[in-house]
Amino acid sequence: MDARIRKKPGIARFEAYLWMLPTLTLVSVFVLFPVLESVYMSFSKVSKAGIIKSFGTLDNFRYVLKQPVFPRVIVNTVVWTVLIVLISIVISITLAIVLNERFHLRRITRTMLLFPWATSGFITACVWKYALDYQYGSVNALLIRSGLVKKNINFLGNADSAFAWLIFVGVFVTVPFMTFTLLSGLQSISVDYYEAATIDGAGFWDKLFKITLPLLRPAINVTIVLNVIYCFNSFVFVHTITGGTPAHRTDTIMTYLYWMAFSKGNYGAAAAISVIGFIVLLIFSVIYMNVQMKEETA
Amino acid sequence: MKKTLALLLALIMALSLAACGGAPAASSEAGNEPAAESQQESKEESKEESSAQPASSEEAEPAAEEGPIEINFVAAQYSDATEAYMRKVVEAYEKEHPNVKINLEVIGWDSISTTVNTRVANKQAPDLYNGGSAGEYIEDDFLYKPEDILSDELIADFYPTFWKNNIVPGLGEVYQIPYVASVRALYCNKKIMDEVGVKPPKTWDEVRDVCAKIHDFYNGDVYAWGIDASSTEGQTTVAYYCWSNGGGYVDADGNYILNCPANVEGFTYMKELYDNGWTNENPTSETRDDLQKLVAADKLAMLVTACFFPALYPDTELYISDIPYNDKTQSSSSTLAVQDALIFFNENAKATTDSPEKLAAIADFCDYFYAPENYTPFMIQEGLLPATISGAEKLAQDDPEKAAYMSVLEGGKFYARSKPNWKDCSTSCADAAQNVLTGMQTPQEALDEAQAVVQE
Amino acid sequence: MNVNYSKWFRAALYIIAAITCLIILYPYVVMFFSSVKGMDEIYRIPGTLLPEKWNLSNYLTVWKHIPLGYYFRNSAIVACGATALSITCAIPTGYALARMNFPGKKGFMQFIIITQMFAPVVLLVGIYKIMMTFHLTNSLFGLILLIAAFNQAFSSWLLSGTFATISRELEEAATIDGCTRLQAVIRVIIPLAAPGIVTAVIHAFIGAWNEYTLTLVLISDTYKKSLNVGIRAFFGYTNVEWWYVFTCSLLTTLPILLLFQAIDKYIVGGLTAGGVKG
Repeated sequence: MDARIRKKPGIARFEAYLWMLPTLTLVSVFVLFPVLESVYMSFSKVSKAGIIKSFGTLDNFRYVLKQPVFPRVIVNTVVWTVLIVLISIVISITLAIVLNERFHLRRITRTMLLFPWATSGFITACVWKYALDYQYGSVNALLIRSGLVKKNINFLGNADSAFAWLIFVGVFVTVPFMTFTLLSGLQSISVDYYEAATIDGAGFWDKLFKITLPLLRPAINVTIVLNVIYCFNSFVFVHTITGGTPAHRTDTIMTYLYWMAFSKGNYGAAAAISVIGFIVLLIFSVIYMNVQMKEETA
Repeated sequence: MKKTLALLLALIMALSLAACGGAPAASSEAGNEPAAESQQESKEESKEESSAQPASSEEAEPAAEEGPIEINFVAAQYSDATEAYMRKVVEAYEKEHPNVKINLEVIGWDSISTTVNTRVANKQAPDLYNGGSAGEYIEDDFLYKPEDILSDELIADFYPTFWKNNIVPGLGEVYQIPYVASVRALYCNKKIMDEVGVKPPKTWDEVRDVCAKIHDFYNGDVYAWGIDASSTEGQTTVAYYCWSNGGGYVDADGNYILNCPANVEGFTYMKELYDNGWTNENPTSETRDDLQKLVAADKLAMLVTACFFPALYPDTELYISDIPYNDKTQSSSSTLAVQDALIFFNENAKATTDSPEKLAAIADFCDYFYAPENYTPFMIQEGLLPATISGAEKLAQDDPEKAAYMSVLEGGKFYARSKPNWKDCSTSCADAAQNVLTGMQTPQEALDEAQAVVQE
Repeated sequence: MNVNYSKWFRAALYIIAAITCLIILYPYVVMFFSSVKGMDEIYRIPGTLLPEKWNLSNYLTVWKHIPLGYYFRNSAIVACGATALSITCAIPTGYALARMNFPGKKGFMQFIIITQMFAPVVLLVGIYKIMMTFHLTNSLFGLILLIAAFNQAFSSWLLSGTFATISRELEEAATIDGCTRLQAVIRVIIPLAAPGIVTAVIHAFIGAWNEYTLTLVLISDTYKKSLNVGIRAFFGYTNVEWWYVFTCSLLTTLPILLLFQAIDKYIVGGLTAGGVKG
């Protein structure tokens, strides 16, 4: 397809950069510079007020890696990201298939799905924390009134159940955007495939696994990469609902980093955590893309 | 398809137009910031010129040439009424002093340090700031000593106990002045206590006794004792359970003693209350706010909390008592007094130089702000206590009930906030309390770890 | 899958849809009920489900507590400005990525993705520094630039996917008619890609409308703050005024839902292109 363009001599080959100039400028100035600054800070000695004193030390990384809770924080982050993305993918595929059918609740369900997408993360986090409260939360009030339980349930009481609920909230906000992305992928699959399959006598599950999912692969891949980055970097849900308590056992990299910088005043260590987080994400994307490519060629 | 795009563009335009309709200045603000700013400045200059003339000539004339003296003040938000009150004070001051402009910014507690520290790291610190403590900024030499810039009258007006607490250990200097104060006490729900027939406990043993009685009386439906070891208040556990046993954050010389035997015993006592089922079930996540609600709802009998609590729930009848102490090691209780501090960033933390006139204006504004007629009503509004002698005198007239706290305040003990790494101490105390309460670590292990952190 | 299945399949559709609606609606119902409860009812234990007294006046009094009008104005300016800028920049980038082959294309794609891997909360100090250099702190215009910059990755990725689905012939036909390449993009490609552009617009708009951290740190003037920053006024030192928090929350969410409703039918179509081709 690019035969014509490749023939173009000299400067014309770089025309693309002219088209991308606005984006390049914006990203280099406002994103790349702060990123470099943060990396620089991670290798520097930094005062309590956040002033860089001298460059060229690994102390920040050493300090972070010897924190007893840090492995737990990394594991939390991975569990948080992987579970949210996996659960959301399963729910979103189901919902996309449902919403691709014509039935009475379709329009209202689609409208409903827009709600969590439109609401800011902070507000969503606040209302779930409020609703799940042990003492006055309305989830407990509802369960008691309906006679399902006798005593209030301590949803956010211990680290494990609190973390489970954090993942629930994460799924709650991830599903809408994912569903819409997959739904649009679904709508672009030609009806002919299904008609042919029906003639061959294929049932629902056959069609799902032999037609729908394989053809949806590109869309699924894209949402996975994007949402892994989003979930990994999401901050407001954990920060608002548990704040990492008890003793960092519900912290993720982002909230731990925030705590390190602004509660503890160790900016150098916070920058080091952000670099470590970046490396984890980078490793993920390299592995994921390699696996993808292998599968595609196989 | 073209229609779609046209519709979309029209929508965006309509939205932005509607948005700008409210205030004509807005569009220029968004589109052309520098122009809008210079506009604003010239407006202020002209306003200042017109009003400056009648004022005394020495003060007004230099200012008319250079523009007004600008003071940046970042203040913490205590309630949604804070900003309105402070703006009133600032505007009144600006009216009296047309050559001074105070840029007041009021920010909530959860984000104030994020905001200010980002600016400080870029040498854009405000002139006045009351959301942090001096310790963080001493290392970089970012702070004025209040004695160097404020009036002697104001310095003399602060309670000596605050002043003493603000001396930085090892340096012997003071870098912050008290801004607001509060004290903690044991508040007991009168209805519950009377029903069970118990009095507010004075000692640890009495606490155990009263807790057991309340627990048995209600068959566990009412919590006897409230523990708040949440992340924002977790450091208080050392003050509540260790001071009362002779321990604490630091010794008399200002050295950290987090893992001293008295502290370990204090944390063991706290854990014992929790393990016996006498306390709230989620001490690591339930905040002071939540626990106060429980007391007001007759679900929790006893809670150590701050003196603004009764005013929030005027319908709840309370017994107020000292924080219980261990009578085997101590002869009396000790109260936690908390002060929020006001600090003054110097030129090292700012891109501009501070003229002598500006420093004089800061001193003058502080005099105005701390004048009892401005300061005390503010404290009453927020449910807090004044840190000045004159302010307390006015409080005695305006709100005698609250003034009773002032004597407690004077005898109170403080956080070791002037220690440079107080933030480390505060966060690791909270972590230690959470680790102990969830059974992850023994009190000894948890406090050893905390001590290791602060000694780094 | 427009094929009729058994009645069990139909039943499953209804059940799944109904459960989804209920779960999603739940927090909004909680928000609404709490927003009209009074202080004593909010703090009651156990909590009430329905409000005993409907304090609808909260929706009026909240305007007196914080300068909500200004917040709405500022949020609208920033969201509209950042959306417009972000899409204007992302359209040529998306086009170049979809249609042109150039040295360093793969590197550019990776660069764009990598910039997404740092959340703004990590970068605050550096961001402040760069904004200071350009005298853009405390400026809505600066905020617009910044938010647009952080949005570039998603927008240009999505748009390049959309553009790639558009037939090349149409564009070439326009060129033969005497259009330059730029004119062809404006007259042919953009109208055809409208659904994809709408999706990018919505994504950018929501992101900008709900932005919190950058606004908090960069904007110091009370009257330039946004809704999401302003709402924090109700999280006080001594207590949280939940009724006002939720009143504001609903008022904040409403404009976006209206926007959605206005352009609802374009949303799904737009994501098609980006999802499959990207």
